[in-house]
Amino acid sequence: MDLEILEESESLTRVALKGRLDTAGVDRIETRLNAVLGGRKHALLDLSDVTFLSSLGIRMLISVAKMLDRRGQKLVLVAPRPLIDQALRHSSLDEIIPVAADVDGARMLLNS
Amino acid sequence: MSDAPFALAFPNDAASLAGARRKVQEHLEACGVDETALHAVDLVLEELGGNVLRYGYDGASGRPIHVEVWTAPGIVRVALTDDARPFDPTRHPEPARASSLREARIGGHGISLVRKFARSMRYRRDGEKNRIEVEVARSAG
Repeated sequence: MDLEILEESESLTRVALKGRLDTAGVDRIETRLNAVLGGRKHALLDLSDVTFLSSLGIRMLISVAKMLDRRGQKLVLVAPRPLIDQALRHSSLDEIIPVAADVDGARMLLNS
Repeated sequence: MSDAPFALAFPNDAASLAGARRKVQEHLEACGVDETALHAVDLVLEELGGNVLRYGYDGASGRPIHVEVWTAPGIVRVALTDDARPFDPTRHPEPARASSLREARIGGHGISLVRKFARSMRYRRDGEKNRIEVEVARSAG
């Protein structure tokens, strides 16, 4: 599991997660992700290279979204693969955290 | 489904569960099982195996968990057996659906996810053992 900062502007941070968001993956990345998204900025989380999402990954995403929400900021998930998208829908996560097909769509959701 | 299953046993720690998941994936890849079924079986082991690790043994270590996997036309079946405290995941309630992020509970999605990616999930208590059998579709089609 790896994390890469793709973009950092005054109003948002765009981060790519890469690998498997399972128990070991969340262990490896959660503290760093919280630190990277620790400012007063919106966050776009690129999931296009995430190949597995378990309940602990879902827990981490909800936790990050809540942390941002407490600061008046939004989290948008971007470009999940089909099986990951299915897991987001099966857990109804897509009803509480917006999901966009691409970065442009994510920016539109932030501005809506 | 009469062939002998691919079977292995591992102790109840996270590294051993991860190793067992890798071996099961390698076996199923060699059987030509598609990505959707590989994902579903891996999710079953991560979630149900992870639950046994976290809650089953009250901190005791070195306890065995058995995995068996069968492939058949149209189906992959995976069974997990442990001698942890009785726990029937088929009776575990679905998490409440949150209407907003603020209301959402952070955890509790594991068994629900397994249910949704699986065709069926059965549980029985055999003496001192829990046995969970999950069937997943062998291909997305």
